Amino acid sequence: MSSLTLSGQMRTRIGSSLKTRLMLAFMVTAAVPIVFVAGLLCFQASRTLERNLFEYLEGMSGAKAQTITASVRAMKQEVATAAVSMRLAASMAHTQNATFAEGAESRGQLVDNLNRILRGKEEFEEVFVVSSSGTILESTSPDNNGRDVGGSIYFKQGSQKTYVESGMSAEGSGEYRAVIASPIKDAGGERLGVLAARLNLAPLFEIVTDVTGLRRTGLSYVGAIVDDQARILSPLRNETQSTAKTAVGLGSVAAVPIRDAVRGRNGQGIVPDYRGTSVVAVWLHIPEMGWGLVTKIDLEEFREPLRAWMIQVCFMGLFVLVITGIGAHLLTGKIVRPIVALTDAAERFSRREADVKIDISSEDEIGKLAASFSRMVAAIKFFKEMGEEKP
Amino acid sequence: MSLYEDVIVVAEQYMGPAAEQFIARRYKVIIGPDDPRLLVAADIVRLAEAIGIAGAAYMTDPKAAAFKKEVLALLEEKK
Repeated sequence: MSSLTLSGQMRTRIGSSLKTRLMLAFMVTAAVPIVFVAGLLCFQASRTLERNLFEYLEGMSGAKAQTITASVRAMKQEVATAAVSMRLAASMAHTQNATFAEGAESRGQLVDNLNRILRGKEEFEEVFVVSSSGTILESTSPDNNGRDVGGSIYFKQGSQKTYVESGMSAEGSGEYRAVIASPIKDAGGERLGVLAARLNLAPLFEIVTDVTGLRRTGLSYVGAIVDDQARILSPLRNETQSTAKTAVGLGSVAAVPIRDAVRGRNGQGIVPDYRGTSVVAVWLHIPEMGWGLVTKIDLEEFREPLRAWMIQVCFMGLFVLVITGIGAHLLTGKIVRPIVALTDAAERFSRREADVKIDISSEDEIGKLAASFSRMVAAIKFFKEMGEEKP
Repeated sequence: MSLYEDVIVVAEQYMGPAAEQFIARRYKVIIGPDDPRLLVAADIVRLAEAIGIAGAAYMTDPKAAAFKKEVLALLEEKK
């Protein structure tokens, strides 16, 4: 306390210190609820946006998966129907049993039948018949005539029932292809061979790659298991055709969506994609083709509106804080000013300054303290004068 | 309460423990050497005037004026 008598600097320090503390108290009182409410709003907005986006992506993926499944089923139905055609069976039987001289005519009929199946159907790239021994008898792509496909899965499975095989071409072309195969039987039910159709995947990929409503970074793609890897088949955004080059190991921790989808697992989440970038993704398995379908939007883009909203909230919070700061400054000034004046008077009086008068007229505690101090000063001065007058 | 006691009550608000002596001194200077407890309403105006002038030495002018005003108000109350 003795240091109070040293200088006016001490007075200033005490006053500003109290003011600073009061201002801080006001600011903290205002800031804590603002930060809490802003944080809560941001959290809720984030959750709502996330939920809505997942629902949206889920709907979009589901629609695409359904369209692909329906298309493949329709194609299966078409191949199966063509395979049981009596005309096809007859021409095939005739071809297989024909003598060399008759062969040309019967083969011509078979090709006509195949071309009739292919005509006007962009979903098939090639239609061909395979003999019961596994050799391509006739194809709409004549280069493939005579090729042995007896070892292929579609031939083996297609000999029993209508079957879809998708995967890398076993003939060594290195292409990904899908083949629908269905058994050809004669009138007596005897198996003559297999009718097979190689699918044109482009229309299916078009369904997948439609990015309508997927914003700037959104896209859908399908993949399949190829050589123990999850390989993306459809063209990615801004690509015109499939490269089928992007592949992820099935045991990899990256590219969760495609890795899980090709293995038959459906899901959704914020996960790293094949680029290692965090995405908001929904993934589905399409059993009909053995494909995994992924629809995603980059997390960064998803957070853009949230970030903009958070910046707005921060600015609003800052504005409220500034207003609170100004209010606190004015209010604390009003509170502290009489205390500083009283401190100043007390200090001057303690330094034996005679002309100490305080003009604080408030009715609060500070006013009462000032009045008491004023009375004390008046009494002391009076008694002092009286004492000086006595001798 | 007598008028003197009323004046003392008012004076204590401004002069604290020195109230009685302050009033006695003003009485002595303005009215005479009698006992200040004999203060009558007729003396109040002069006493209040003296309080206003002398009080300004111990407190701010507005406060001294308020002191004087409160003493004069006693006159109204006694009427």
